[in-house]
Amino acid sequence: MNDRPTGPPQDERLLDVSGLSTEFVVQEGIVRAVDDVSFYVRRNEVVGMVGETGCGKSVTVHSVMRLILPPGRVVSGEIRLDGRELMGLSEATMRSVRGREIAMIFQKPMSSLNPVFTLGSQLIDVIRLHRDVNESEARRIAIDSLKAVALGNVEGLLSRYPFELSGGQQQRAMIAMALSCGSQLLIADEPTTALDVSVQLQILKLIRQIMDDTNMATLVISHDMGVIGCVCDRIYVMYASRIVEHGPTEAIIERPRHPYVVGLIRSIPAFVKNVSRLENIQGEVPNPLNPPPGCRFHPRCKYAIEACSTTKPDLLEVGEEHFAACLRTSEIPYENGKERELPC
Amino acid sequence: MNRLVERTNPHDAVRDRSSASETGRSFLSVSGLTKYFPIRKGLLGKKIGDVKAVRDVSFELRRGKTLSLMGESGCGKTTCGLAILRLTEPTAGTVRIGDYDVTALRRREMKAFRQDAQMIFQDPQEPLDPRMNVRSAILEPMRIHGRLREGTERLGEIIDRVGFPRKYLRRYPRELSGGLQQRVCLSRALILQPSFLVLDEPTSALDVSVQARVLDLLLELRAEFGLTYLFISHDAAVVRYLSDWVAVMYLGQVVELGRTEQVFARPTHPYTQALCSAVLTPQSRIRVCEVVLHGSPPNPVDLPDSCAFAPRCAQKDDACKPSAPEMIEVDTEHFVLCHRCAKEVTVR
Repeated sequence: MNDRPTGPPQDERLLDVSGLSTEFVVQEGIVRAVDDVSFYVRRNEVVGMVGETGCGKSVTVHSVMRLILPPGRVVSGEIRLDGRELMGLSEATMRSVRGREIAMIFQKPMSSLNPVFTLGSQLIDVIRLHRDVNESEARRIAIDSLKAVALGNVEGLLSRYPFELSGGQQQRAMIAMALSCGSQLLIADEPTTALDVSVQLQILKLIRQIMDDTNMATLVISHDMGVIGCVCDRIYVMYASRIVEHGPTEAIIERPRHPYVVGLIRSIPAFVKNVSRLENIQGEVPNPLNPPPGCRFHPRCKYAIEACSTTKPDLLEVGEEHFAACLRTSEIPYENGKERELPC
Repeated sequence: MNRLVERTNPHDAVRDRSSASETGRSFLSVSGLTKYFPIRKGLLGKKIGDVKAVRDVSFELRRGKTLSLMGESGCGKTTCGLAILRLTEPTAGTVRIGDYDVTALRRREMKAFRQDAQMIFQDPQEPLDPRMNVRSAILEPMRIHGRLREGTERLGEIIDRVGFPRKYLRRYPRELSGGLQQRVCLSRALILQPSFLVLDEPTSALDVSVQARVLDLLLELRAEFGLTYLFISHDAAVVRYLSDWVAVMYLGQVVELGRTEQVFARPTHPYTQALCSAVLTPQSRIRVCEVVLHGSPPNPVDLPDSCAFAPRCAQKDDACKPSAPEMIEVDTEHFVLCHRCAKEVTVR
C-alpha cells in the first residue's frame, strides 16, 4: 500500500506503522511472516491485535521493537514512534528506546524474570539503566510501581525471588517493571494466556485501570477475542500475515465484515447465543511458504468468488474507522445477533 | 462435517428420565474419592504433612453423558481424573466404571480395564513419541494389547472418522499442527473401542477455530460410539457447551454439582458465580464485571476445617461457621457446599 491509509491525523498517532513486511529465510524458501501491515496506536488508546497461532501478530510487534534476529529480517516498512522513525536507528539507540519508550511484557513472566536475582534487584537495575537516578531513588520508584499494580507487602516482595511468586504476581511485577520507566507505550504479548481465568480478569482489569490512570498507550496481542474485546478500544484482526479487518471493538464484534472474522467470532463458545452448535471454519491455515494468491482466506471462505483467487483485496472503509479487506464485504451477512446471552 | 445426531435409542430416553443418583443405572460412580500426596522431609523421609489434592469427591453419571470438572489450576480436577482411572492410586474412596470395580481391580484385570477407559491430555504433543510416525503411534495401544491385526484393519476407518487425512499417516508428530496432533491422540484412544474417556483440557492448547471443530467432533463421537465423557476444563463457556452435568471444584472439593443448564442459569456457590463472571465475552467490558475473585487459592497443605473458600469469598457472613460445610440440595439434583446456601434452604 503506497498511499497512507486514512485515519486520524499524524500527530494523534503515538505509534504509526506502515507497509511493514518481515521475512524469514528458511531451508525451503522464504516465509513472509508479516506482509504489508499498517496500523497505528493513538495516545492513551488500548489497541488489540488478534489472530490465530502463526498469523504473524507476534512477529509484527517484534519487528516494531526491532527484535527480529537472522534468518529473519524486516524487508520494508516505516515504524514511527511519536513522529520519530525507528527503522534507521542504530542498535545502541534502539536499546534505549526499548524499555524506556516502549515497554513490553510477555506471555510467560517467569521466562522474562531472571531466576537468580531478587525481584528488587531486577527492578532497580532496570530503573537505573533507563533513568538517571541513584539507588535509593530507584528503590522508591520500584516500590511505587509495585504498589500501582496492587501487590501487597511491597517491601517484602523486593527481596523475593521470582519463583516465590505466583503467576499472577509475576505478571504484576512485569507490569510494574514496564511502568517504572515511564514508557509512553506498552506492548503486551499474550499477557494473560499463562494465567488462570480468575487471575486473568484481575490482570486485565489492572491493565485497563493503569492505562486510564497514566495515559500510557497499549498494544495488546492475543489469540483470545475475549481478552481483546474486554480491554481494547480498537481491534486489528490478522490472518495469514495480513490484517484482514480493523475497527472499533464494538463494530468488530457486533458487525464483523470479513468472513474470517465472522467465523472466528462465531466459533467462540462464550460468544454464541445459541450454544447448540458452534460455527466451523473449514480447512487449515495456509502454508506460509506458499500462501494462496489473491485473498489468503479464499480457499476456506464460503463466499469466495473467482476474483477472490486473483485479486488481493485492499482494506475498504466499511464504517467509521472500520476497514475490511474483502471483495464481497458489502454482501456478506454480518449481523452476529444483537443479543448474545452471557454464560450466566 | 456430519451434523451432530442425538442418539435416538429408546433406552436412552428411559435413562434420561431416571435420576442420576439411582446407583443401579449410573455408568460412572465415584464415591468419597480422596487423594493425598505425602510431603516427606529429611534423610529418613519422615512424613510431615499431606497435599490434599482431592478430598471426598462423589458423583454419578449415566452412560452416554458428559460430566465436567471445572475449576482453576491446582483445584485437583486433573488429579481427580487420574485417580478415577487409577493412573495415580487414590488414597481412599471407590470408583466404579461400567462393570469394573476400578478401585478393587488387580494388576491383571487392569489391562482389560485400560482398553475400556482412555484419557486425552491437554498438550497433544506430549503423549506422542517424537520418533514414531502417526501410523505407529495410533497402532501402538493395539500392539500393546495384542490386537494389532484388528488395529490395522480399523485404522483407516478411525482416522477418517476423526478427520485425520490419510496422506499424513507417515508423518511425525512435529510435522503436524496442534489440531491434527490432538486428532492422532483421539484416534489412539478410540481405536481400542473404549466406553469411557477422560478428557483433560483437550482443547486449551488449540486455537479457537480449531477448538470449535474439536469440540463438535467430540460431541459427534460421543453420540456415534456411545461414549461417556469426564471432561476437565477451566473454561466455563466450553464446559457449558459440551456437558450435561458439571461439578465445580475448589481446593480438592466439589463445591457445586448439578445439571449444566441449571448450574449456569443459577450459579449458587460464590465460587461458581465468580468463575462464571470471569468468562470473557465482548459484553463483559472490564468495568461491568463485578464478581471478581481476589487473591489466589490457599496452600492445599494446611487447609482449614471450615469452608475452604471463605478467605476469598465476597459473600462471607455470620452463617459461615467454623465447621466444615456439607453438601446441600438447593434444587432438584443441584448440590452446593456452602453454609450460607444451607441457611437459605432451611429458611425456605
